[in-house]
Amino acid sequence: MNGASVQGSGDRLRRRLRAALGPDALMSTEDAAFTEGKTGHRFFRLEAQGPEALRVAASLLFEHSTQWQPVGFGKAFPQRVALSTRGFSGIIDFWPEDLVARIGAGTSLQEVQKLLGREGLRVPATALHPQDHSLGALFSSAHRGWRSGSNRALRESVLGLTAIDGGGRVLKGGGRVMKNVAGYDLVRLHHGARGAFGVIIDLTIKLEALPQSQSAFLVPASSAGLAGLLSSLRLPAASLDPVVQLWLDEGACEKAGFAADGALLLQAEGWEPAVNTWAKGLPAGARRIEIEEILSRVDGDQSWWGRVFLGASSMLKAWPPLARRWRQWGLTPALVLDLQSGHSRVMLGGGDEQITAASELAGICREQGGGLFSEVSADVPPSSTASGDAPSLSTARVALEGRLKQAFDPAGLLPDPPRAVEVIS
Amino acid sequence: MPLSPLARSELRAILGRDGFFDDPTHRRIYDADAYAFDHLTPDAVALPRNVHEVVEVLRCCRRHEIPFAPRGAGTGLSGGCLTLGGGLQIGLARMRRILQIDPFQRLARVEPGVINLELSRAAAEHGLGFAPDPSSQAACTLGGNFAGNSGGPHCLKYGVMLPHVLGAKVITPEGELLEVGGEYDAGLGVDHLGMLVGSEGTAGIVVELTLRLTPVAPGLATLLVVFETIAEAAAAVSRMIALGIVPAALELIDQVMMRAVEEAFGFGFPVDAGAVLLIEIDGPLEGIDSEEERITEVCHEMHCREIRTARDEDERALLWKARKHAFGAVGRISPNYATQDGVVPRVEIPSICEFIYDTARRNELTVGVVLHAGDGNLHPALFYDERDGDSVERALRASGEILRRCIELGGSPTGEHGVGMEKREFLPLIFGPMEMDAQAQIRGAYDPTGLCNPGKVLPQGGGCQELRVVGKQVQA
Repeated sequence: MNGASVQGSGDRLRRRLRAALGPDALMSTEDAAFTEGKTGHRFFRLEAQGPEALRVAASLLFEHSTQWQPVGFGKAFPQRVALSTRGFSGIIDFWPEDLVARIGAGTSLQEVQKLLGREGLRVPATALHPQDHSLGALFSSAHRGWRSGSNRALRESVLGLTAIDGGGRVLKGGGRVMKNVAGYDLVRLHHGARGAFGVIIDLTIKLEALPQSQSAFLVPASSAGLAGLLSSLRLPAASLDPVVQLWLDEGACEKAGFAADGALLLQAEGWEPAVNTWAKGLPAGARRIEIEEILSRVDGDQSWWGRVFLGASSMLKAWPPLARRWRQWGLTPALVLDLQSGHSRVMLGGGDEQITAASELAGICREQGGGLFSEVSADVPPSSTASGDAPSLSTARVALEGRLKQAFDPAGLLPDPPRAVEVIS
Repeated sequence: MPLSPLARSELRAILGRDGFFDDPTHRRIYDADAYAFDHLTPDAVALPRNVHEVVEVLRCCRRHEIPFAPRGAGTGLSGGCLTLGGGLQIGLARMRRILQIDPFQRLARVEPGVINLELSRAAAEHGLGFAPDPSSQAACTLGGNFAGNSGGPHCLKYGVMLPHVLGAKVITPEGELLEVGGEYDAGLGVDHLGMLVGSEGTAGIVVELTLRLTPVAPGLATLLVVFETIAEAAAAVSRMIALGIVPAALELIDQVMMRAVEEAFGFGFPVDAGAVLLIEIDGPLEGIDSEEERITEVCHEMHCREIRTARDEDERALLWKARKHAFGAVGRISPNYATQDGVVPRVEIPSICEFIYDTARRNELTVGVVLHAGDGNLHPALFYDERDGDSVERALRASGEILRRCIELGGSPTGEHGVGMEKREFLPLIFGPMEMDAQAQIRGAYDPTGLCNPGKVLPQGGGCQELRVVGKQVQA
């Protein structure tokens, strides 16, 4: 990081920001009205009420070499200015006959689904606690959700976006048409970059019609019998392919409130007769559930350690012996594996050994071409969770990201691109 | 910079006598792709067989500052693989092994020279297929599809190439291995995969791909819906989309193209009709009839003349053959044609069709139109004769007018063919100066050497003048 903190920049910057954006635009943890400073770290939040205000703010921060970070409903790292997108909320343009909408990046997933639901439409995204996630944050954190199969995620549905980069440039990428291969992809630049190249203001999204019918079930399934069972519950053996295909290990089942070696969470959607036929073909022991309810229970204590990106086969092979051993150490590991996307969320449980366990898991990911991503919330500095965080990236990739960073954040004011955890000391 | 004797000798040592060619005959073979307006002869041709050879070739290029352009099967429609200003053409067609098909994870690992259709055929025994299906799928390579973010008729439902690529191994222009993604969807840090798909071979050479396979739906219904006018057919498309009906494919073929197809193949198309829609619905067996009913209702509402349903797989195959061979059929009625690739918001399909015919009339050209109507992606084919310089000029002018109109309507000059050499000058019509700078920065980040497929994607200056010069070259 090259830039100074907002404190280091002194009062002049704060005066200029308040003059440009209004007296209440910049708040800090020391302000009485500020309610987010629970971690003891000092940070600032800047609420710009429109794209132009945000551009002015970004330019001033650039001019003063002050570190900043885009945030939706989350919080910034300590000593950074959080440029909040909360002011950019709602549907800006809506082309219902084309199933396309331009939506403010600060709109919560819950709000947008509610608005679009009235039209029989939805954004192809799912998240627990949708009121807490802005669309901009979901996109920039590469959130996949659980309805994750091909062409059903936000990544593929964002047709265009507007962003402000670290140098204060307002850049538009993509457009509003279904297919577009004109030029380099300024949209995907921000996907998964977690604000490393700028702040997203709005997203133009391809919408989908709400399905005629949907039905979710829990089917007991140990890791050993999973492949055979799953092949009988999805195409070509079954009549349709479930849009949700999650596997919960024993630990996750326990957190969800039932005892099993493991379980499949499946959801089918589409034409009503097809969904009904599919449901009738499920094995004995399958029971109807709400996906959100089960995942909320698993997620109850919010003690997830991180996200794993590894092929489903590799994860299914690696996880059970690891989890058994870690339980012997006194840990309480749990896993929710998305069999379609290869994204998992893992929990390791309390105890000092969790760091060793995470290192072990990171090593396996690295060996098998995947990665472990520590789930660091915005108000916790990465170093406190994963000290010794080191990139498991090739030289070519590190150099490439350095060049992109130089182009879109020339002063190094924005957070670094996210890195997988390699070694945890 | 021309290839020095030393560079030639090094390349020959890397690739062997049957992997490196610099004789006029071989160079001539590689002087064009399916882009009709230009032929550029490379200084030499490299045909590596494996990753090691690709790495060594690129390192040699870097040492000797040789510009290079990767090439798949040469089916590209925008001149993307041509060596502008000379250099080395690197053909990947010899790297054509399917390395793995994993039915449980529904993925395949392939080399870049594998033909698109071969992958679907190989996966079929597991009830899987590869969804992107460009019209050239019997010839085009998966590496080329990666470079172009290719689509095809069925990408309406299943998406273009991007969501079907899970991982890639790319040799950077500096000769280093860059691995992005894997057996999982994007999300592990910066989405380089998203940036590389569609980068038109300007960011390195892909040497291995991990691709998502899609289960083949058990239920299928293929309809040929006949309309008196193209406006009615286009209105039916808009209505279906607005109702949230998303068939697997929704293609529009106009009268001129129908006649060409009919003359060539005798499929029994109604050549007096204004246009037909080729609609395919796929999904579970239960419910497919009711979806077909919804679609037929919309078509009747929009005054269709007739609806024919394919009765069996043979009839279905015949209908798709007609669609996919439409451009091939044009060869019987015109010595040359220029295919365009504009995209408009789907509600603008009627207006852009009207504009296309009007533009052709004004430029005294015949035009046939095929549309991936469900995506608003149009492929007007402007007929011309390359022996007649004036007709080349008119075809180029009309192409430009159509693409500009697409942009004015909120669309794009290219939906799936890529920018290549052809559409570079249209980019500033979509993007402002800052976005153009940003695009150049992205390119520079992925190719700091400036050697990888230079002159493509971003404008080089010259605008329409450049198109005119190209026209004269063709005439000569």
